[in-house]
Amino acid sequence: MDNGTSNSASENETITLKSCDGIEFHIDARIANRYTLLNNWNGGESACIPNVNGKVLEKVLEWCEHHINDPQLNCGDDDSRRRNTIIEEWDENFLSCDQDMLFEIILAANYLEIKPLLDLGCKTVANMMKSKSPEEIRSAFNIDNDYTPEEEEQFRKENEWAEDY
Amino acid sequence: MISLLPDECLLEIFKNFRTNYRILFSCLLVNRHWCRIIIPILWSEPTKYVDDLRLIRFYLLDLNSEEQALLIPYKIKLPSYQKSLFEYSSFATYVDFYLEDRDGVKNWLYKEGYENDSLLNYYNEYDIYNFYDDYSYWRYKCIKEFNEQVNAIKFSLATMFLRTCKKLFHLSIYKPIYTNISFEKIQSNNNVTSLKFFINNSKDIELLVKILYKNTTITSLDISDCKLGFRQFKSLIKALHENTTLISLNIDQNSLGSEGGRTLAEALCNNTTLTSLSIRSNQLGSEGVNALAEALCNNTTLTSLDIGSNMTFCMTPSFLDLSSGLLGAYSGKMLAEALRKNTTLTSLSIYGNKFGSKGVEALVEALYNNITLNSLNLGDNQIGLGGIKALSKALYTNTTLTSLNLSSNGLGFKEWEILMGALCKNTTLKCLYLSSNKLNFGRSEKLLETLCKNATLTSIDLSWNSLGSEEGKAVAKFLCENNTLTSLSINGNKLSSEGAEAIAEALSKNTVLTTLNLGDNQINSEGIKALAKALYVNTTLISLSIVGNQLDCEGGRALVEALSINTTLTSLFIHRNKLSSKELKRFVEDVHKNNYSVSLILF
Repeated sequence: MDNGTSNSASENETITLKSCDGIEFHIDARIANRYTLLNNWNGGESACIPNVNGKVLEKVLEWCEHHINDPQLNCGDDDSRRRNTIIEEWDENFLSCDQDMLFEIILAANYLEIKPLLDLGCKTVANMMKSKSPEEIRSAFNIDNDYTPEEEEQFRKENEWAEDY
Repeated sequence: MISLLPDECLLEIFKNFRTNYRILFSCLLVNRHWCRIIIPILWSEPTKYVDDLRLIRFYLLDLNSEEQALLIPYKIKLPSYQKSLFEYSSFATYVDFYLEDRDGVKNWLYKEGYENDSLLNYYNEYDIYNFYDDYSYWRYKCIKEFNEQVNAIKFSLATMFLRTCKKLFHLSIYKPIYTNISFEKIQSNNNVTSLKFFINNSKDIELLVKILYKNTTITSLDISDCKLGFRQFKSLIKALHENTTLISLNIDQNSLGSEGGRTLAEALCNNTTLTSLSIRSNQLGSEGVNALAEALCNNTTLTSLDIGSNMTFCMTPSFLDLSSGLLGAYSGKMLAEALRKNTTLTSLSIYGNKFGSKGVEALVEALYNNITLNSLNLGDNQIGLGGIKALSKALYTNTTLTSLNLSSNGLGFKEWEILMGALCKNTTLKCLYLSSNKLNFGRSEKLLETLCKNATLTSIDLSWNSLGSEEGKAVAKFLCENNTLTSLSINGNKLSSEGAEAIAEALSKNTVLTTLNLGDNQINSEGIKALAKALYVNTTLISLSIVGNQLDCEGGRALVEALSINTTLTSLFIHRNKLSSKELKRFVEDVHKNNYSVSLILF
C-alpha cells in the first residue's frame, strides 16, 4: 500500500509558499507532493496563494504536517470516507477554534483541494448541528430566518416524513 | 460566518447526514438557501431508503392529467391537497418498484386511496409506523382488486418519474406494473443508464434490440425473470455481437436452454464491452455451460460471469446421481481449461450446479495456474470431502483468490478441519462464505489455534450452521486474538445467551470488527445486556444485528443506556424480537433522545 511518503521528495527538501498577505512558509516538500495543488505555488518570491491569508494558511499547513504520514485515502469512495464519524482527538483539538476560523479552514481546504481536511472540517460543522432544532441551528450559526411563517409551515408538512428516518 | 461557505461546502456538510434524515429535516427548516440544497438530497432515493405513504401523497400531486387518467378505471381517490412547493419527483435519481415488503404505495392505498371509505374504518393499532403490514392486509378481503390498483398507481408513478426526473439514472419496474410503459418514454429520459424491467412481448424485444444496435446510454440492463425462452431472445443475443455500450447484463431465469447457451457463447467471442454477465437458472445444461467455457478461452473483456443453477433440470431422481456426476466432472474440466487460458475473468459463480466432488476437483486444478480469478462461488455443488481436499490443496499455493463461497454444501467438522489447515497457510483469501452447512467445531481447541494463525481473512460467514454455545466461546476467543476480521456473520445458529455473552466480552477487547450478525441465535435478555455492556467500550463496531432473538424491555433499556455513550454504531437491526409495536416505538424514541448517529432497522 502507498503510505504517501514513498514519493520522490526526500526528507529534507523544502518548498516555499506565500499567503495572499505576503507571509512566507517553508514546508516539507512531501506535503506539496501529497496535495498537488500546493505545488502550483511553489517558488515563494513572486507567486502567492490568492484567497488564503497567513493566519489560515498557517493552520492548514500545521494540519498537513501533522498528517504527513497518514495513508492516502481513495478519494473516489465517498461512503468509506464518511462511514467513520469519529474525529481523532488531535484533530478535534485542532479544530476547536472559533467558528470563523473553522469556516476559513474549510474554505481554504476546499480551495486547495485538501480533501481529508475538508471532510474533517465539514464533519466538525455537521457535529455542531446534531440534536438541534432549526431555531437552535440558526442561533448557533447566526443565520437569519427568511421563511414566511406560512412557507415554513408548508415545508415542515411536506418533509416531516424525514423526521422518522 | 457560515454564509461564507459556498454551496459545494454546505453540500459536503449535509452529506454527512445522508443516513440521518432527522437532522437534514432540521437543517431544511433553517432558511430558504439551505432548503434548496437539502431538498434534492432528501428526495433523491425515495424508494431505496424510505417507502412511506407520506412521500407517495406528494408524488401523486405531481401526476399530470395524462398520468392521472391512467388511474380513472381503478376508482382511486387521489389526494386533494394544494400543490407542493417543489416538484419533488424531479429530484429522484434511483427509483425501484421491486420493493415488496416495505411498500409505500400499498400503504397509501390501504390507508387513504380507496374511494369507498367504509373499507378503511378498520384501524390497526399496530400500524404505528405507517408501514403497510402484510399481516393486517391479509385479513383484508379484496386482495386481487387491491393488487391491480397498486400496480396501476405504480405504473402511473413510473411514467411520471420518466417525465419529471432530471437526473434519473436507475429505474426498476416490477413486472405486473410494466403493462405498457413504452420504450420511447424510457428512451426520452436520456439519463437512464441502468434499467431493470420486465419484457413480455416480442414487440418490446424488437424495440430493445433496436436500442442495443443504436448504442444508447444504457450500460446496465436487467431483464431477468421474463421466462421468454430462446426463440424470443435470439435477436437480442445477436445484437450483442455489435453493441458497444452495454457493460452489465442480467438475463437470469429466461429459459434460454442449451441453444441459448451456445448462441450466447458465440456472441461473447465477438463482444468486447460486456464485463458482467449473469445467466442463472436458464437450463443451459452441461452443453450450454461447456459452450460458454469454450468462449471464455477467447473472450478478453468479461470480468464477471454467473452461470449458477443451470445443470439441475429435467433429470429424474434416479438418473440424477449417476449422470450429474459425470456431466459435472466434464464441465469442471472444461471450465478449468478456460480458466487456464483466460486472463480477464475475476469472478465466477457456478452456484447450484451439482458439479459434485469430481467436477469441483477438476475445476480447482485451474487454481494452480490461473492468476486473475479473485472470486469463486462453488455454493450448493455437492462438493463433498474429495472436492474440499482438492480445493484446500490448491489454496496452499494459490495467491489470487480473495473470495470463496462454499455455502450449502453439507460441510461438516471434517471438511472444516481440512479447509482450516489450508487457511493457516494461505495469505490472500479475504472472504469466506460457509453459510448453510453443518459446521461445528468438534474438538474446538485445536481447530481454533489453526484459525487464529490466519491473519488475512477479513470476512467470514458462518450463518445457518450447527454452532452452539461452545462454538460461540471459541469464536469469542478467536475475536480476542484476531486483528484482521472486520465482518462476521454467525446468525442462524444456536449460540444462546452463553455464547453471546462470551462474544460480548470479546467485543470489549477486539478493535477491528465492524460488522457482526448475531441474528436468530436464541439470545435472551441476559445475552443482550452483555452485548449492551460491550457497546460502552467498543468503538469499532458499525453494524450489529440481533434480529430474531429475545430482546425485551429489559434488554432494550440496557441498549438505550449503552447507545447514549456509544457513538460508533450506525446500524442496529432489531426486528423479530419480543418487543411489541408500542414498546418498539418507545425504544426508538428513547435511543434517539441521546444518539443521533444510529439507525434502527425495524423491518
